[in-house]
Amino acid sequence: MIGIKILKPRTGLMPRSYRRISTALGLALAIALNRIGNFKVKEACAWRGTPDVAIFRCDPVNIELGRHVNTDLAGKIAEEFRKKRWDGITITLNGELGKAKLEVDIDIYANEYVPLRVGITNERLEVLAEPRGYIDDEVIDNFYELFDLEYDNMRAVIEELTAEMHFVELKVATYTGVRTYTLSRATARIIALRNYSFTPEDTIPLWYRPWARQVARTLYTLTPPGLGRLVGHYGMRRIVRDIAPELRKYLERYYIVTLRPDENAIQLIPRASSPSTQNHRKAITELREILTEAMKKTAREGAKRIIQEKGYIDWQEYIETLEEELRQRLT
Amino acid sequence: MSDPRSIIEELIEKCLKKYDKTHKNKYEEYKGEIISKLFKAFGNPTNINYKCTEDPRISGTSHRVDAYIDTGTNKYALEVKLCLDTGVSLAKNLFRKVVKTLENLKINDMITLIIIIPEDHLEDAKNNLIKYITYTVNEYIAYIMNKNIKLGPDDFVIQYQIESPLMTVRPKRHYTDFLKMLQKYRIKEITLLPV
Repeated sequence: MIGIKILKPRTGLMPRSYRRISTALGLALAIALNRIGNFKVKEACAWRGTPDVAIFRCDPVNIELGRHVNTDLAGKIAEEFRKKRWDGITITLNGELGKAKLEVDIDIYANEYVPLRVGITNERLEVLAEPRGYIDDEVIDNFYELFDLEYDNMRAVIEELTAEMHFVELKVATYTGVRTYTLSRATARIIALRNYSFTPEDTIPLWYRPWARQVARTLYTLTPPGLGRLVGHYGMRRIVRDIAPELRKYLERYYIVTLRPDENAIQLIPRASSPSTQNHRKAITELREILTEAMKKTAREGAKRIIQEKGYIDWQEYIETLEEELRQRLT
Repeated sequence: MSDPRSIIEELIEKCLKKYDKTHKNKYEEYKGEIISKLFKAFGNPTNINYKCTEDPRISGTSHRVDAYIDTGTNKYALEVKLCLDTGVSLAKNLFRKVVKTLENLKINDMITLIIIIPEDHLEDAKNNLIKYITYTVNEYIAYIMNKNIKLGPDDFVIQYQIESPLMTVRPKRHYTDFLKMLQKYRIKEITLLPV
C-alpha cells in the first residue's frame, strides 16, 4: 500500500480545498503509475460508508488520466464530495508495472478520519493505494514488496510522483485567505506499507515534510515507551533539529536522500540491493538500537552527572546530553 | 479417501502459506490449532474439497479471499489475518473479496465467511470488524433498501457457540435487513475464528 497524508497549514483549510488537495494527490499517484507502467482507468466509483457498498451502487466518477493532474477536475470532484455526501472514491487502475500485472485501487477519502472510523487503517490518511496482482507465480499484494521485485520501476514511480507534486499548483482557501500551493507543500507524508502495518520496519518513508517533525515522530515510536516519555514529543523534535546533519548522513547510508531545503522536505528511496527493503529494515533496526542505548546511557550516567554538577536535573541539560550521545553513535 | 485433517494441513501448506511469504513462521506457530479448530468448525466432515483462490491463474488481479472450502454440507470462504499487531484492515473490501471470488469460481451458492485471527487480538479484531460492518450495513440499508434505519457499533454482538469454535457476528435488531444484505453479498454468516 501507499499512504498519503496531507499537511494542513496552521491557518487551516476550507473543507472543499482540503478535498481538492486529496483528490489531486490521488490523481497525481495515478498519473505517476501511468507514466512508468501502462495503466488504464478500469472504473472509478464514489461510495458512502465503506468501499463495499459500491459493488451494488456505484456513483461513477468520470476520470481521465492526462499528462498532468487536471486541477479543474479535482475541483469538480471536491465539489461533488460535498453535494453528494460521499465518504470516498475508489479509482481502479489496470495495467502493468515492469513484469508485474497489476490492478491498483486508489482510495481518496473525504477526510482523514474515514479510514480510521470504518476500521481500514489505524492511522489517519487521505489517500491509500493498494495493488493486487502477480509476477509469474508470485502474488503481489503490497507496494512494499514491489520495491524488492521491481525496484527501478518503483523508484521511478516515486520520482514521478514527487515531480508531479511540484508541478501542480492549486488555489487553496485557508481561513486567512486564498493561497496558491504546490501539491508538495500540502503533503506531509508518503509511505509504502507492508500489509497495513504501521510499525517503522514495515513502513518505508518516501516523502516527509516538514522532515524534522516527521522523522521525530518515527523516532519517538522507535524508543521504548518509558524512556521516550522522559524526552517527550517536543524533546524529540528538538533533538532531530539539532542533530539534523548527523541524522541525514546516517539516512544517506541506507536511502537515496533528496533534501529540499526550501520546502523543509526530504525524499527518501531505499538504496538498491537485493532485496532493497532490507536496507530499510537494517536502517530502522540499527536506529532503534542506537536510540535505546543512547537513552539508557543518558538516563543512567548523564542524569547522574547533571545532578552531581547542578544538584538537580533539568530538561534542557538532559536533552543536550542525549544529543551528544546520539551524535557520537550516529557517526 | 484421505483424512480430512491432512487435507486441511495441505490447504495451509499449499494455499495459505505459499502465497503469504511474510507470515510463514506465523503459520508454523498456529498450524496445529488452525487444523483442529477448523475441523471442529466444519462439523467433523468426512470429505473436504478446497480451492486456492490466491492462485493467479484463478483470481488474476481481482479481489479474492484466501481460500474456498467445500465440505459437502456447507461452503466456506477463508480469510486469514494472523498478524494484527499494528495494521488493521481486517475488513477492507471483505464483502467484495467474497463476491469476486465466487464470481471467478463460478459458484452460485452462499458461503459462510470465516476470518481466522490470533486469540490475543480478538478484541481489536472484533471492534474493527463491527465498525466496518456497521458502516456497510447502514449505508446499504439507506442507499439501496431506502429505509431510514441507523445501527451503531453497540447494536452488534458476537455470538459464541457451544458446539463450534466459530463466533458469529449478528445485530441485536433489524436482523432481517442484515440478512437480506448478507444474502446480496452471497454470505450466510460472518464468523471469527480465534486461534
